[in-house]
Amino acid sequence: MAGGRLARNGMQMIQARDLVKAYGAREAVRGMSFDVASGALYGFLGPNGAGKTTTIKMLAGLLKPTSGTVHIAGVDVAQHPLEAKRRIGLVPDEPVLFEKLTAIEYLAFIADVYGVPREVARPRAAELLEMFELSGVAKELIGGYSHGMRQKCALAGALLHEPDVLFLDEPTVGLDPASARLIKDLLRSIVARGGTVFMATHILEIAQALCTEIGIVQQGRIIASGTIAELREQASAGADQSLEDIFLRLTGSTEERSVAEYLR
Amino acid sequence: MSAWSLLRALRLRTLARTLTAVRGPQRLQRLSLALVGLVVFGGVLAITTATFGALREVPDGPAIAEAAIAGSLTVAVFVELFFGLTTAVYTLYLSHDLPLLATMPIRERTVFAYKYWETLAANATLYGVLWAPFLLGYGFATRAGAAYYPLLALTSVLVLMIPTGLSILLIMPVMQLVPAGRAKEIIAVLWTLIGIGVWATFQMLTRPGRESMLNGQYRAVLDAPIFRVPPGRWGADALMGASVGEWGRMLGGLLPLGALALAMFGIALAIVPWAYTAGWVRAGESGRRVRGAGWTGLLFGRLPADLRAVVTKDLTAFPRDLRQLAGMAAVAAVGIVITVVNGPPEETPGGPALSYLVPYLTVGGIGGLGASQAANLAIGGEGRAYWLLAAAPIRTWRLLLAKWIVAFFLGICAVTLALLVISLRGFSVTGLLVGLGAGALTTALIATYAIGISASFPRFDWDNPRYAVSTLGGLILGVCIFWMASAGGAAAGLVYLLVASVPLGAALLAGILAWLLAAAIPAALLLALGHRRLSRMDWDL
Repeated sequence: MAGGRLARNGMQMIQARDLVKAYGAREAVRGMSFDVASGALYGFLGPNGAGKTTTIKMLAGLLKPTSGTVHIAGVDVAQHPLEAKRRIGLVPDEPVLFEKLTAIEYLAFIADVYGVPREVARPRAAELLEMFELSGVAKELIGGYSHGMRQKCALAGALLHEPDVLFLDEPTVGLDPASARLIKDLLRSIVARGGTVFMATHILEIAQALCTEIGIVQQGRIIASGTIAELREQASAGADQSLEDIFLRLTGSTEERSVAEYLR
Repeated sequence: MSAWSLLRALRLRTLARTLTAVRGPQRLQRLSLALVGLVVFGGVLAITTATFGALREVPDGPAIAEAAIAGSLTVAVFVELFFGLTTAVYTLYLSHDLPLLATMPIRERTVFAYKYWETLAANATLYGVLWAPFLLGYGFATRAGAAYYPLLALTSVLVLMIPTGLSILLIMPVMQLVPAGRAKEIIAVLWTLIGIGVWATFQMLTRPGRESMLNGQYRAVLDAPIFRVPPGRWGADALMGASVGEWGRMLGGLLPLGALALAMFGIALAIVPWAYTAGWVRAGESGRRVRGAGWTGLLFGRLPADLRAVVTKDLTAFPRDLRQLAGMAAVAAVGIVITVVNGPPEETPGGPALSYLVPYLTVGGIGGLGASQAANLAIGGEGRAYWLLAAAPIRTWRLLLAKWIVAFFLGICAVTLALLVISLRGFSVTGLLVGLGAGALTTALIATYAIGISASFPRFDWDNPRYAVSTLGGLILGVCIFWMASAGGAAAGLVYLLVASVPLGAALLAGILAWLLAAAIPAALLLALGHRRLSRMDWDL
């Protein structure tokens, strides 16, 4: 089994260099480079179609970059995909799971695929199901779950093998407030224990409350990155301005003004 | 523009785009379908025109023609009722536009009338390809008057309105039994049941001895209820009356047919909008606990963890997926019917002759069918959930091996079932061993072909699980199986030539090895291609 609650202080757990993903003539990601250190909760923000999901898929080894490299915990994803995948947990924006399995069977599948010994996997799966309040439905088919339940099941699967790096794409979408709160607390505790989380989100309040570092992406490029204080500086924003203000200023979004004009 | 006109324009525009705004292989597929439809239409028209023409010269010809039209219209109502049930699931329960339309300021009755006609139009394709040319052929052959053709169109619409209304009403209680997510599985089961029924009936009817019963006894056949009951009877009266200008007869058929059709339309429109808006119509609840699949652990628990994960997953999910189960049930039914129809093996004085071994050798084909059924779904059948396998640390060739184990296991289950059926009719150790050997070899080869093709040409369209492999992939699988059978024939010829100069055992061994070599080469190539394709593919699911 890989990693497992590795607190590798100072180590760069995610290293992306000059990442490009082109679909024909259209470039969805245009030369992104960034590092995420161990123990960081990195927020990946950007408008719709900015390239967030494409980037996450490249980092997790689902998409091959047109050019550029990705290293996860020092392992080159293109050269050693299996080694890299063992260190990764992924929860995509739409958690499509095996519909004809129950949550327990799904977690057993994940444990076998990621090489978690059964005697370790069983109590851990029970613990995760209990934590995500899925114990009562653990023997029902995932196909009958609501979106939020699937999201929690996918998260349980991503955490089962205790990955070094957890990739989350819009993790709180479709969750009830209690579940969203649970996930926020969980992410904090993962980071506190030395884990690394890379999270794409539209919900700026969550990013502001949770993230230790933020990258703002627009049209396939990172236009600003750093802590919130550093972003504030880059955007020449005041100390009282929220991440939302900083984001809108940096991305040059006109949506806010348009809505105000419409309402008038 | 009224709401009704808007909806109609929207539907027509969508239909036009569905037909024209497709590219590449999909376009080719649609064009092929259209061509097949035209050929069938032309064929039915030519055959029925000639047949009805010939019947005019026979003394009982008009009576036979009348019975044929009445019977065909009654059959049309039943067939369209069956298709209507599946179409209604799509137009009402799995509809993309019904929730949107329901929120718009349009009367519920208008929305559901639109849905009714949408269901009818979808059902009309089959009628247009099979029944319309049949009835047109009658008109041409009898040189029917000009009134016949508009009346044919009107009668066709009225005939289609009856099963459409019934299916919309009947699907409501059916859907209350199953969750909406399983609606497509119910459709697959319905299709399989009807397919098995039609196929088994065909097999039984073509058995020697049955045909003689029918020969020369058509008068008795004409008295069968199917040729005499409404609404087919009414439709036939309306059409035949119009063709010869007997207006009283025409009205005597058309009026009750029209009344029944309008009644079905009216009842559907009175009940369905009310049932939907009152919340009475809803799909059954999911959330039932399911039984575990501990047997997979017993059988495959000793496999390496990554292989065990995939094999256990697939075999656990298999009996819970009615679509996959229905496919395998069809294979089992084919196996049972073939073995029953072929009869028990007969001993010959000089030892096991080829005819004696035929039922056992057929078992190989049944196993291969089972394996290809399972293997076709191996990669594309995962649908969008394939991202889980793509993101998992499992080597591509190990994934293919796990999928092959599942396909081979299910194929061997089909082989065992077929051998059991044969054994019930006549037990033979030699035959069982030959059957098991032939079954295992054929199943292994076809599983390899199908896994290679599934990986090389996957289609991730879980809405249409029968199309988990692209058209080209299906074509290549057919070519491979033809190649395998041809190589088998060539190997048999080799054994025949060798047996004159070497002992029988050596000749058989040489033949089997030659066959295996010839059949294994494309299997290996396909696996290599599948491995390459899966390893290189970008998973943007």
